[in-house]
Amino acid sequence: MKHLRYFAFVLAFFPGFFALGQGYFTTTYNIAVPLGNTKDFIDKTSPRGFGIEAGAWLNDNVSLGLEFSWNGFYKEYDYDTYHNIDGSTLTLSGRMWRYTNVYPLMGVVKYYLNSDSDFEAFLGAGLGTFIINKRTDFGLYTLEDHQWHFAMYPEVGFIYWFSDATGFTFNTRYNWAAKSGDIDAQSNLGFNFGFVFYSF
Amino acid sequence: MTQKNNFRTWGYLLILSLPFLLFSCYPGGPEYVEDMDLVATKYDETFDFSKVNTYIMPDTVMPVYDPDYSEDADPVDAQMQKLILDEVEKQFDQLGYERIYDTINGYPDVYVTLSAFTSTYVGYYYDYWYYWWGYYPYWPPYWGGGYYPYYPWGGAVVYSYTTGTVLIQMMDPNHVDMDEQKIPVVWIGAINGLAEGGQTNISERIKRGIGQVFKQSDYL
Repeated sequence: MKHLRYFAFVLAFFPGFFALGQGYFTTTYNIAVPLGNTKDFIDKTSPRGFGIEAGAWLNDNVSLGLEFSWNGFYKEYDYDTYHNIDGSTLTLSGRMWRYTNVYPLMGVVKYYLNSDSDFEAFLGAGLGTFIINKRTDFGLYTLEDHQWHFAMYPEVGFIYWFSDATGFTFNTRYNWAAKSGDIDAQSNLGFNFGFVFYSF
Repeated sequence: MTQKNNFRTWGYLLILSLPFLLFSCYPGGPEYVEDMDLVATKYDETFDFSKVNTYIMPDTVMPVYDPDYSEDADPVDAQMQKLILDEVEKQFDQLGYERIYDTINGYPDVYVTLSAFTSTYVGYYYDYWYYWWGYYPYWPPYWGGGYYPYYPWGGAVVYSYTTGTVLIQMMDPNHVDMDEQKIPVVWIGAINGLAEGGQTNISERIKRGIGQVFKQSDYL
């Protein structure tokens, strides 16, 4: 339920962008391919994710926005035996479930290459925080860690405007979060597609 | 104006639909009671298990209790005791360990105790063996009441809330700390899971768990 709480929190700030006038609102379905430490923990692509972004155009080529999204990585393991836990003589057998939930809360800047066209390619960057929750369920036991990470991403994408106020958008991002607390640096490659709504 | 209204309508609809989308794609987890079963074993690296040929094991599975709530310590169900005792003996038989029943002709290489409990707390515990050393027949006479097991190799495995645990402990009678009145535990096996699912289901899971305890302890 935590992601609902974050979602509600961020949503409360979004209407401010519409007041700027030349604004936009984006909703996307997000897929993420784990990389690095994220992949070491869960090596399965996440099909669970969404993103919302609201922003305003500063001029024809540049927009600023705020983005909140979620990617849920998950993998379950069959019954197995694990020896030498933490270097000791402890051996454990059981089923294991691993979860990594990533909640980016980012400021976003985008530069549009061909703003007069229905097909607008853009380059972007995000800077902010990833709230990351890592959890392992093993038998009846749960190991959980929860941290806020400094994070950033470069992105490349496009918008195809199929009406004056609505467009299809796709972007890909290299999401990176610095080590925080006991959670190592995390990264994934995101593929996000959805709709953009233009606010006049 | 119309476009603006369209935008708002679509936007609100999408915002409202997100939580439903979110719920619909929430990942899975344990589905069955047995999914939560866990088997843990740990042993003393300095102990030579290859020299163990005989063991003694009382015909009782002791309840474990929280010293602060000793009135909660009911005896372990007789049928369950028999199942655990039979299964553990069978496993030791398969290893070639000889069970002895008295100490008239000498002492065994190891002592084995069995305990079981449905726990509602985490932390330290005592089992009734703590008090029984002095009363149980054939235990070494110098083990008076008050001796308690300890783990020279770094502690017992963890216990959790509202779960059922069966504990098998193997102790070394040749290295009793007389001054501190402690008996070294050289091997421990724990079967842990939800104490739910009906008697037959629980029995099957305990048998399977005891089998796994021995299977993953190939040094025995």
